[in-house]
Amino acid sequence: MTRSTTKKYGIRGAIVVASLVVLAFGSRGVSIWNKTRDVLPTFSPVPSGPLAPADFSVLGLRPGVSTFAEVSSFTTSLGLPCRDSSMRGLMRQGRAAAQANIEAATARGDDPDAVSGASRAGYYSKKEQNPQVQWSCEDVDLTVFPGTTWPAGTRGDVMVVFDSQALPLRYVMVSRHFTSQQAALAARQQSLARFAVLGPPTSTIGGEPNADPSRKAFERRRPFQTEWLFADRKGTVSTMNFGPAKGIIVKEIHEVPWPIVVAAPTTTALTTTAAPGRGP
Amino acid sequence: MLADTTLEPFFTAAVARDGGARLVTCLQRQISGDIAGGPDVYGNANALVDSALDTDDNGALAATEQCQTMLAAHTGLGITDAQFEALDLHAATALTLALSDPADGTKARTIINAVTAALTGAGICADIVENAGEAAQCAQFDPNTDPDAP
Repeated sequence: MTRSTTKKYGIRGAIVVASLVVLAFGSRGVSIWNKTRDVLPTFSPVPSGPLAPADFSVLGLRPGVSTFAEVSSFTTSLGLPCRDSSMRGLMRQGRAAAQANIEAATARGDDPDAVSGASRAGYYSKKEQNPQVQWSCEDVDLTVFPGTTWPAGTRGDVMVVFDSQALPLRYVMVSRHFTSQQAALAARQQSLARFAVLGPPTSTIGGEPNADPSRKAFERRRPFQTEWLFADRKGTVSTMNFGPAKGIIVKEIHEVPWPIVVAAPTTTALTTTAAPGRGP
Repeated sequence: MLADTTLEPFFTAAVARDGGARLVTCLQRQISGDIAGGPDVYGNANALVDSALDTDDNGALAATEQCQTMLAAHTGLGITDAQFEALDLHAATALTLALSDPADGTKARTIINAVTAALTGAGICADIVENAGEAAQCAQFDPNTDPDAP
């Protein structure tokens, strides 16, 4: 091979290699962009029918009104540990954790490829296209929410969902866990009383638990669900015995029914005081 | 499940692809195999799915598009105990609604426990819930464990 040929192939080779690298990284970049770009679901308009009372709220948070920026700063101001438990949020957190483990292993002089779950650091899924935010605050003191009337020491999980960070609140859920049948029964009745301002329930599943203290109110995996369905909102109180470790769970949900579009904000962002008799 | 705001994103792709038909097929086979003892066996489901061709995440035509194992289908998604709990509640509620025959309550409870065990039992929970600490709670989803407690 002559000197000129070597030089010629060397330059060509370098160009080919560079092109392949650019293509490889470019292709991966395009793939990641495609998997993580915002793709909102298709929402449907509000159907005709009765509308829910405009001032009803759970924890003072109102679907269609509160924004993610307001809610996240609100929970921060209350000192609540919250995180985004949406598909996108969880996958981002998983990648960050895997990357941190790899870097820690590298710092220790260990083989980063031997880190358990290392491949997750570069794993993306098209499921991340959904920009939904599930703002989850787990096992928190519910009495810190202003204007609420929870008994002292009441703890629970809170989840607040937005279709994206730019869209108003869709869903508020409060979940409380009980290891006592009677405590769970009382909590369910309190929840039903709070939702009674919505009027008579539109549907029930499972009826109501047996209130006789000599009998078990909540058998394992027997759900009790009470629902108030309006054209623009839905309220749900559900209770089920998940077993000895998790206990009996009483959930309150106030939401814009999926997939109805969340109405644009029309009133104040956050309710700081509950209406008399309205409770949490 | 698809009308649950908190779970809907997990099924968006499956619904967009074929209206959820393939997902339903795989779940039906899972239940059939686990409850009825066959002939479908979810672990061997690769040979059972009829729709052989589809595209992968990069748009390329995949050779086969088969039911994945529960572990493969959920690895990397970071699914939480709370999300699995919501699934369990939906399964029990839907079955209670479908089997609401007061005259035959015992039989209905047996069916509900069997089906929810197939869909949300401890073993499947351990395959789906990713966080190690939360996955440790999966044992409580086994309906055969202390069924009347607390």
